[in-house]
Amino acid sequence: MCSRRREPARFTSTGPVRVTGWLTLAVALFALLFSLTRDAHAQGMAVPPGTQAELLARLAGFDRNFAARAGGKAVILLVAMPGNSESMRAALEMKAALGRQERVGDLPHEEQIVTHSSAEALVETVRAKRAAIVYFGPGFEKQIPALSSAFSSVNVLTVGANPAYVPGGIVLGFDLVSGRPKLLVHVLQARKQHVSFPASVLNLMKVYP
Amino acid sequence: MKQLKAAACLAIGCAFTLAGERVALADDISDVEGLLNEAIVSSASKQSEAASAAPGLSTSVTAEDLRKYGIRTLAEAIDFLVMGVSTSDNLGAGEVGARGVLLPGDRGSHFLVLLDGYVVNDPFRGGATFGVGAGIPLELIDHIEVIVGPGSVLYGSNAMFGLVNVVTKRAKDYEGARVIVESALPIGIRAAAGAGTTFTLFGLPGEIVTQLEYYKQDGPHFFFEEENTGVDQFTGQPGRHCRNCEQNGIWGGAVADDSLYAEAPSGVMRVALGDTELHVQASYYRHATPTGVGDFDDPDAGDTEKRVSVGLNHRLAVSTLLDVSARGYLSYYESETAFVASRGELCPFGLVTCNYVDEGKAHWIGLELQSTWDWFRDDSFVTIVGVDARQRHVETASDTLNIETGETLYPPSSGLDQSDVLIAGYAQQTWAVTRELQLGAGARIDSDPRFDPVVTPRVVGSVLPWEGGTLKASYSTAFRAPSQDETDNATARRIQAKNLEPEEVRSFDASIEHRFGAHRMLIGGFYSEWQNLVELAQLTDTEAIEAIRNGETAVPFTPGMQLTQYRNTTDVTNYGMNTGVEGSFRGGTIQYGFTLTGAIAEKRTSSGTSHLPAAPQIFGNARTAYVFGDNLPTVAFATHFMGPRPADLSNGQFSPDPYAPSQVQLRLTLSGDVPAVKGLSYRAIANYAVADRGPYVVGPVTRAIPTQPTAQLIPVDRFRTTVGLQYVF
Repeated sequence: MCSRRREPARFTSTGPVRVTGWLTLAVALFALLFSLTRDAHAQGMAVPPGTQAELLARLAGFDRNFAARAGGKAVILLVAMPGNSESMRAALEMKAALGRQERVGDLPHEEQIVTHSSAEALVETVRAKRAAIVYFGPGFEKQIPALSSAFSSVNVLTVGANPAYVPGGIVLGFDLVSGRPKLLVHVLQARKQHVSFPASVLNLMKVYP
Repeated sequence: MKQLKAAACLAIGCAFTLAGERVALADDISDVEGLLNEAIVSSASKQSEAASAAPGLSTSVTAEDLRKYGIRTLAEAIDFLVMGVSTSDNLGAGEVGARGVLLPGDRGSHFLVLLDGYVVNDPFRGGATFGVGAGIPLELIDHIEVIVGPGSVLYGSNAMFGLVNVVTKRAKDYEGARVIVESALPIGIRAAAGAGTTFTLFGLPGEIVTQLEYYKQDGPHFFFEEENTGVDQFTGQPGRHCRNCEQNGIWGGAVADDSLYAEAPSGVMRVALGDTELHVQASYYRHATPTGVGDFDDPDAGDTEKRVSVGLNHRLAVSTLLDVSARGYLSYYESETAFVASRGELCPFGLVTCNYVDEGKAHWIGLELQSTWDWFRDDSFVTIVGVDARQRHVETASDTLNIETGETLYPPSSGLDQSDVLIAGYAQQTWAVTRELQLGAGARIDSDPRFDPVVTPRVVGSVLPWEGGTLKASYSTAFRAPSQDETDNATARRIQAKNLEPEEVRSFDASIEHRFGAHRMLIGGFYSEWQNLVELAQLTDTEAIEAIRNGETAVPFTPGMQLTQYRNTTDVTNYGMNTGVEGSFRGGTIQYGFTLTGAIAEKRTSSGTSHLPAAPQIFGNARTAYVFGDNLPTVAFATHFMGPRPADLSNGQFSPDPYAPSQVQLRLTLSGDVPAVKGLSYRAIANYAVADRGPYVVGPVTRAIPTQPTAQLIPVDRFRTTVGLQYVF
């Protein structure tokens, strides 16, 4: 670092004029930014993807039906909302983060990014690819009821990055409370989707409904 | 047959054993617990990351910790729960230091304090309050991130010890309305009300959280020993230390009933709609302490601070590559300090009592734009580039008044009325080379019209050498730009500084951390060099006469008149170690934590090398809590300890140098829900301090004199109980 004292500047008190100028600039900038985001809003992920991946890799192994569901290899679908940058970025970051995990649920694994079109189409994709886990990043707030209904009889673990997804019917979710990751689980939906966690793990989670 | 039976029994036995083993393995949730206990911080790198990966030493204090361990202020959170940082109670706004360095009188200006990312340090002196005047309602706090180590690379001035970011709760964690009443019996009371809710507007999710709080304290009423100042050099008579009292040279010798108090209403509100957030904070803090060199126990002596800040930020995900955010902020601050003195050396106008009133007003308005580039869209190679520009305006005024009549006793100094513009740019690059190796580098350049631009770089690296382990090393720098009050202002008893330079610190840090299940252990070392530290130096009689001749002050000369000036006087070399362990057993039913910091700090001035006053060289804390569950209370025990500390006047002013003894504070807290009353909860706190003296010399005797050869150290509030109730509707 280097810093030398300068000669004192000639201060002029132009406080009110400059405040007005700054305020005008700030208001214009915010109006521009706000107008660009109204149709593309998606909440970012509170829990970093690396932490989500580590937790998911371990939690999958506690699901009593995971090994049977996955077969010899766990296929994880990462669903992105088309036209939503936040959602696509979350899928890419989770793919990379999961890729850094040696095993998921004590199984070799593979991640694929799929673009959402409809709940029914997604269910078909899950069945066709024999996916063991389906992960929803930001951007699915309005789709959760339809997804919850469509997955009701599908043998798959659904996971959401947004804590608001779980009360709506996604089985497992992540939240950040007091700077610590929290797990959320929808036990009724889990039962419908053949996901079964032992009591010791459920005790670590906030249980819905 | 017997063999078949034996084989069958063996097989069955093995099956049960294996089943039991599978159950045991399947139930081994300690890895998951450990991940859930790992703090996620966002302040160190301006992006969310695990604390173990973040640059510097990070501690994250949760809302549950604040409640469970009976924490009432930021200062207490630091003392009882944070590694590497400690506070010092001067019965006023308090002081804070880190890793063996504490700078008395700095008004907390060497820590950068943020509230939801907005700077709380005032625009007048850059100070921050960590006690009851912080203006942050306690129950609204979600967590507190404390990052120890120079942090100017992303935040600029003041982050020399590090930064404290107080994050408020989201509405989902603060739903409904609540009222809180808590009393530190019998001297203080805090009442608060808050609310939080979510809503939808224009198709976007929104939320609002707010809490208002009022705090009032009167006391403790300490007894202060007599100090005999002898003959006043101006009057030739024994000094007078209160209005309308005898000239007998005696200060103290009584209980201070009127001059130890605090009053602090405050409020915070946050409104979010989609990716836009509005933040408002307001606070008022009036406080006084009977420990200065002025009159004893005068109710009109004290400080008043008013603060309002507004911030608006918006984040936009432009593409999978790029995020941009814009943050506008406005902060207004006003302060008034009243110093009351009757003694002739301090009030050379006959038998009157002087009221030295110093006022300051400042505001800044600014805009910060930041872009985040995730080049490979996988969080492995991320660039952050930002600019921050603010306009600052400062006004000061000072008066010397006859406290009884209000008459001006001599012409006030002209004061400041000036504006300037501060511009900064910063950049940071992080690179996850492999899963095991992460590197980061960054720098910030700050432009201030009073100095040449200051550049503060940082380089960090972390390695995961084994499962659960992290090795980190870093080089980081920080600076503090002296305030305009320090560089350009003069008051009745302070002449203007000359050629004041920014303070600087460089630090090398290394640490090893290991996470095993629900437990975490850390050991680290540091070495720091501090330069150009600013101190309020007392002028010699010769310097005072020269200043009067040059017209730098209008105060008439009196022997021992105590004129002061801000100067870059001090360099400090500081090194040491931090260690800590924390974790939980039985699924979080039993929780524990322990930290210990040992540090050496040597102060170098033109007159030689000495120790740093008031700074502890060994300190730490320990805590444990048992969560019984159901309707039973949570029982928590916390302790904070410090080794002996030299007093603030311990460089030859007295012989021997006064030292405050080692201090241990013990705190027991019971908290929980009131049975059968839904929504009502309680906490009861008992605090006991072993030592009765702190490291500050009190009263008018600031060096040994024949009538008063020894120093009187500040008293400590030894025992206090606090009880509180909270009702959530």
